[in-house]
Amino acid sequence: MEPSYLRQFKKGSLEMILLCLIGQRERYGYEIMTELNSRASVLGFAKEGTIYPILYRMQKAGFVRCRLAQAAANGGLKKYYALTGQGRQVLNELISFWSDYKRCVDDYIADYRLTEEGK
Amino acid sequence: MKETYIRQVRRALRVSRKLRREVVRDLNEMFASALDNGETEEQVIKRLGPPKEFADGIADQICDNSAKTGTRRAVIAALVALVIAIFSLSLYAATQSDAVPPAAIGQGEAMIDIQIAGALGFDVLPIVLAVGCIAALIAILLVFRILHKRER
Repeated sequence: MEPSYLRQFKKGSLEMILLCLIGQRERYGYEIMTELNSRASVLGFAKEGTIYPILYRMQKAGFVRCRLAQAAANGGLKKYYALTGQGRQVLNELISFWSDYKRCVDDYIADYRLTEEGK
Repeated sequence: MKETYIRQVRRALRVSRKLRREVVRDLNEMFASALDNGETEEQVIKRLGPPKEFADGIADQICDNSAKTGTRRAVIAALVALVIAIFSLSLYAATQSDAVPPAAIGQGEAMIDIQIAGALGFDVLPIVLAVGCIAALIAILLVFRILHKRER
């Protein structure tokens, strides 16, 4: 089991990554999971147990909506998730927050590295 | 195996009935998608983790207290119905008893001819009885529902 400080840190960004993925186009659960597995395996999100609870919460909050439809590849019914207008707004807000956040944290890291080098 | 897992999750889920139904549907889709992609049920169950953990993961994110609030509301409704039932039925029972104050009109030795008309112009007693019975029935039904919910 990974340390809790890492787990919490990762959880915070999962919502944003999911909004980005669903914002590109409609996707269903397993598709989201395989996508995360191939591109974001370092984050270790690719589990139904981590993805679905967030999807339920975002659906309840009105950020995503879903519809049942036949999957293109095979006959089974899949639940496709899509962003709502509110979801898109929240995603844009999160993206702008993320850039500020990243800049701020990077500054602190740079300062830390400088003092470490000076020692 | 899949069925047992889904049933265990369903039982452990502390969310609204609507969401519980949705989770069961989604779990079936999760298994179907994984099997289509060459995974086995064992692999999926291993990834999903213990049923209780999976269920708690959802409840934690949702913070859905609607199931709890629903039960609390039902308890309050049952209590109110019970109070109304007891009040109405005891009122009805009191009017039916023969214990009449000694000085009451109509208990004299000889016949008297006095008619007392109610302010409402109709007999309230059958209505009191009906209200009491309906309230008692509602109270019983609510208690059954609360107990049934608790069992699950």
